[in-house]
Amino acid sequence: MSAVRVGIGGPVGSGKTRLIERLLPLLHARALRVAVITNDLVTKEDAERLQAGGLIDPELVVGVETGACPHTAIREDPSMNVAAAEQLEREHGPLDLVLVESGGDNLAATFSAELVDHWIYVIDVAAGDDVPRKRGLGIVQADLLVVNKTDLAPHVGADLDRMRADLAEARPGRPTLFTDLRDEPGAAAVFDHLLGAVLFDRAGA
Amino acid sequence: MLLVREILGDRDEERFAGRMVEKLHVSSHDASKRRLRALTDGGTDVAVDLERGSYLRHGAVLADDGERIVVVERTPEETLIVRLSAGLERDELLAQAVRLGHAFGNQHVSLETVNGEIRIPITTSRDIAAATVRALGLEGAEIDFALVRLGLETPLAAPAHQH
Repeated sequence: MSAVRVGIGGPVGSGKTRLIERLLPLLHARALRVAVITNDLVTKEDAERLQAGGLIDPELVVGVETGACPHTAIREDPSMNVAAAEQLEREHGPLDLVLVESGGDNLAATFSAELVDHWIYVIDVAAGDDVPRKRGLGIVQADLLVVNKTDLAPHVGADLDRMRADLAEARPGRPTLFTDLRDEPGAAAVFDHLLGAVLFDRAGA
Repeated sequence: MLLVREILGDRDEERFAGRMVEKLHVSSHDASKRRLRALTDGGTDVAVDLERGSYLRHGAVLADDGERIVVVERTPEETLIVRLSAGLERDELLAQAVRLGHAFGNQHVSLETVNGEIRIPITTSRDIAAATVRALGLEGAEIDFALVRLGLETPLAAPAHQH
């Protein structure tokens, strides 16, 4: 049985890597075998951060340097990421889950179904509470939208109720979660979503 | 939870005649997903786990217990329909089609052509989608809006965008 692949996209600094750091202990507690692929434009910064963090076997983390706009490596030509996922499964399988983190990108970024089975888009309230109204395919089509850094809302004047209303209109029938991933419990709802939506037949789920 | 690991066939096949039908509503966007969790219109909790590259075409039978089948039903989606003028010369027709594809490709919107119509799912708003067409000044082109079941048999054509 091949690993489930879940994409995590969103603008630079919204909390994609932090979300992975919060999810890893929850996944491991359910005895789920997980590997991570990170994408950066010309570095392996995010991969090195995860490898040094002690939350996952460093061999289960692969950094992909896209060398071009990051969204092209998750949508138009995902071959580098597909190859990385297949290599991880070949060398370290069987795996339950491969998380594919996009390099930070714009609101139009989406994942190819060739690469992932499900994808999360992460935005943060500090980038402005008008982001949901700007739509963009990342916000409209993501299987799960995560609005992160809710703890910063009072400091940046973000209206969370307005964001909830705008997102309900932009994403009818699709789930959205508001999180504060600086605190550990923030990722629990995201984890529960993944268990129900795509990890439904995996050991421990 | 009803776990589906293969598409059994199409609802029109003789072997499924007389079965009760439960519909699993799937949008054109979600039809390319190999893993999916959703409720049918009868309330059955369906978990789809297909081979990578599978497509949830309209009418695909996902389960059969001898009395009842679970069938993929494409959800109608708000769609911009563009009809280019039938009176155009070949070169002008090609030019209009290419410009239209380029404009929506830049918005990363997939589309399909059926029976001479160009069908574009609305991912922004009617106003923005219509403005995209109007800005091209396509002589003789007509636009319309409708709820349409898109991507019935195959995925919508995705725009290429590499830089």
